[in-house]
Amino acid sequence: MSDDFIAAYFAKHTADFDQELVEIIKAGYLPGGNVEALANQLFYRIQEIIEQRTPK
Amino acid sequence: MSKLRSLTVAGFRGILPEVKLDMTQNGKPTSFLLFGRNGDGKSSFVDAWEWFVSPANRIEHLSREGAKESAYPHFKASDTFVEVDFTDGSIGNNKKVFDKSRVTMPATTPEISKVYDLLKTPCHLRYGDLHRFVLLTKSDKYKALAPLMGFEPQLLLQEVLEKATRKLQDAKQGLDTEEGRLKSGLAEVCGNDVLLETTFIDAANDLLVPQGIEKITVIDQLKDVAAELKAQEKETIGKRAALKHKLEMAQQTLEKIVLTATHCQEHKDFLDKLGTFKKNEDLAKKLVFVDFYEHGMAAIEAYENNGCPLCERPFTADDNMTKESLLQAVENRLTSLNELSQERQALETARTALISKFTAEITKCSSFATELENAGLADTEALVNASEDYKKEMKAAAAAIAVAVDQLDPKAINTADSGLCRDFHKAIETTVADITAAIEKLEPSADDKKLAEIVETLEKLSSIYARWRAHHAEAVAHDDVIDAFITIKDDFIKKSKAEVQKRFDRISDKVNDYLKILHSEKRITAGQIKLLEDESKAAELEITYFGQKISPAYKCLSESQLNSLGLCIFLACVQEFNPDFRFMILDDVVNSFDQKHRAHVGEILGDHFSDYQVVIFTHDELWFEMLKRKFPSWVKKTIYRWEYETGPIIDYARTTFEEIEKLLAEGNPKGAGHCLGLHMEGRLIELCENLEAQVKYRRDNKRMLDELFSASQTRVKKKLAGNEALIKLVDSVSTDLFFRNICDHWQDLSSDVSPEEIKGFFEKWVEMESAFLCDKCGKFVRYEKVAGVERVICPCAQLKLL
Repeated sequence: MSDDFIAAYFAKHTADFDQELVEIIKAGYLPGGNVEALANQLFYRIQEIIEQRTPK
Repeated sequence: MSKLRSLTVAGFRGILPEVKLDMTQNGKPTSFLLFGRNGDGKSSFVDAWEWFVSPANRIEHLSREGAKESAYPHFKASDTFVEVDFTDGSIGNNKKVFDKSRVTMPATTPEISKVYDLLKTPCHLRYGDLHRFVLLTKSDKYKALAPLMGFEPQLLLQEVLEKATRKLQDAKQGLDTEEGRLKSGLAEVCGNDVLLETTFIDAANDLLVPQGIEKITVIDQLKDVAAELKAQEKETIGKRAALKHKLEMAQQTLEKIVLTATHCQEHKDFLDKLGTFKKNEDLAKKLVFVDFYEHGMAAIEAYENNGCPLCERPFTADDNMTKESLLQAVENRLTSLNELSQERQALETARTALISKFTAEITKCSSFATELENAGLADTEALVNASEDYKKEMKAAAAAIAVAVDQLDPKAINTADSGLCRDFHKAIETTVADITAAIEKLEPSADDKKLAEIVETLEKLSSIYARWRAHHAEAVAHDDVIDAFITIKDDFIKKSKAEVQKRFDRISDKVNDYLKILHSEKRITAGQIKLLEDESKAAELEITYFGQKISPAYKCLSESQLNSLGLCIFLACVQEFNPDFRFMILDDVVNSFDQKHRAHVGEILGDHFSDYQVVIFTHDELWFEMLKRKFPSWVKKTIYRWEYETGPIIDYARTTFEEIEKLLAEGNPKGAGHCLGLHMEGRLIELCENLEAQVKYRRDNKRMLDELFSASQTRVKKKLAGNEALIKLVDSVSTDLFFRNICDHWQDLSSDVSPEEIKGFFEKWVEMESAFLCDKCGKFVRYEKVAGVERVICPCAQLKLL
């Protein structure tokens, strides 16, 4: 099953990427979930990161 | 390797009483073949299977059409369940029971999760699914392949990442719009829309330098210099503006006094009316007798005698007076007095109004002095003196008219004649003119205006810069995060596509193997699913057609050819992606295939799925017969009848020969002849094809039995001339007296055909057919020519006729 592919992908291929983003993608993925709901959740989490990273 | 012992369904879709499909033969799990006409409930079993193995408890094709879970039970069902008995002891017997109070959450046995784990990908296929799949768009095809090939989870994550990216890009568009607004604002201020610190510095210096103000060199100075100049502007322009405001207030107050000074004329009119009233002074003094006259008239009227009611002396002739004339005289006097009383009342009302106006004038004269003083007006003595004189006169006039009516003194002070009012008004006009001149002097100079413009522009620059700085910081953070996110997304999609491509490659050989069997005429020599590189999730069917690669395949394939490609893909997926569960259900999947291609499907199943438990539902009699012959060990059942109350009535499906024998035993030669004719047609087509016999071309592709038989017979005599016994056997069939009858009328034999006639012919036919059939592989011999050597041999080479 390609859930294994997803697990393997995050385990092997994401070391060079933004780890905070990698973590929220990983945490937000839910097998069999609703695309729209998951995308919205991910979008709001990324917006929070943008806000945190915007110099005040 | 788990297989099924049975599938039991109750109260589900078209099935009402419990129906058990026993898939065992001598206790061993076996493939299963079920024949039933359209609407006999075959598809209800497939729906039941899909619902049973779906973790979401859903039947996709029904959901797509809006038939949700509540549509699954039979309308009259009290219990709805599906029960499957697996050979694997760890899974065992599992049951899913529909719960009408929670239609999406059926009750299940604890081991159902093992069933879900067992099925990596769907293993059932309906004709409708197949037909729909081949005509899907490339992106929908990709999505449809995801569950079938097991990449559904990564497709889900890909879609989530893509959707989130679009949302982030939409949000970024909002920031871009704000940047556009800032650019427009900057261009409006300085004619340059390049959002850089140097643009702001240069624009500020362009304003400052001509004014002799020192240049700014760093952007942080912009705010300071704007604030400094603002303070300077406030110091010069602001003070004058405040004074101007005070003068304008004083001016407005004075103008109000001028506008309302109309009371002098009213005062004069009042005094004139008082003079007129005074002319009736004597009468006015009698106003106190009004009540007396009114009571007197009542008394005269009430007095009954003709005399004076006061002294009671009767009127004499000398008096020249009667009661009536006395009444008239009193009434006349009363009328005059009433008129005079009204005049006096009017005078008193006018007096009250006039006093009120005088009081208001006095108030105004008292208030403006403070405002003049606040406004800093120097030369106001004349106005102040005139106002004081006027005020005194107003007070005196008010006091005089307060008693003028009672004392009947029309000589009270006449403000109209005094001239003080005019003097005061003139002084006001002079002062107003002075104020106007002073205001004009306070208007900003050209230098003031320039300073104000510079301050305004610097403030705008400073404000735009502040907004840009905040916006820019957010936009940079946004871009950085989006870039980082898109990097992950793109990498994931790239690797996911590579993995999906591997899956496509894994089934490629199998698809080609099946296609070669299905399309032995070699028009289509290869087929595959092609991943479209330029799109993130799109797949198309590609075929090699007459040696040329065609994509998408429907450019040149017919509907049935497309369906055949789709079927090959499904079969390859089942084999490749469901390795631990060798089981599949095919529901009427050959609907669009002709007899030849249906036979080839049987070959694929026999050659490549011999270790699979295959469940086939069909309404096609010929294919059913073909499969029965080809797979004698399978469990074969027929739905004899379907009714709303009973659902499908299923019984053992006899072989054709068994069926003919049964019909003959029942004394039904007509039915037996029909069954035999149908069987002969199928077998002769197969034999003609195998022996490469030449059959007369017919546009409608319908073959007469005698044509097929004759073509086979000719071919046998040509290629197997040495096999006299065989030729004799074939001839014995064609020379039978019943042969012509069955060839021409098998579909509707006359009722006078005797069972003996059919039985005799049937025995000859069985003997002849058996001569071409291999006992070992159960297949007909076929003609082939290899390296110039001709052979007539069965696939397993056990039976060799040439």
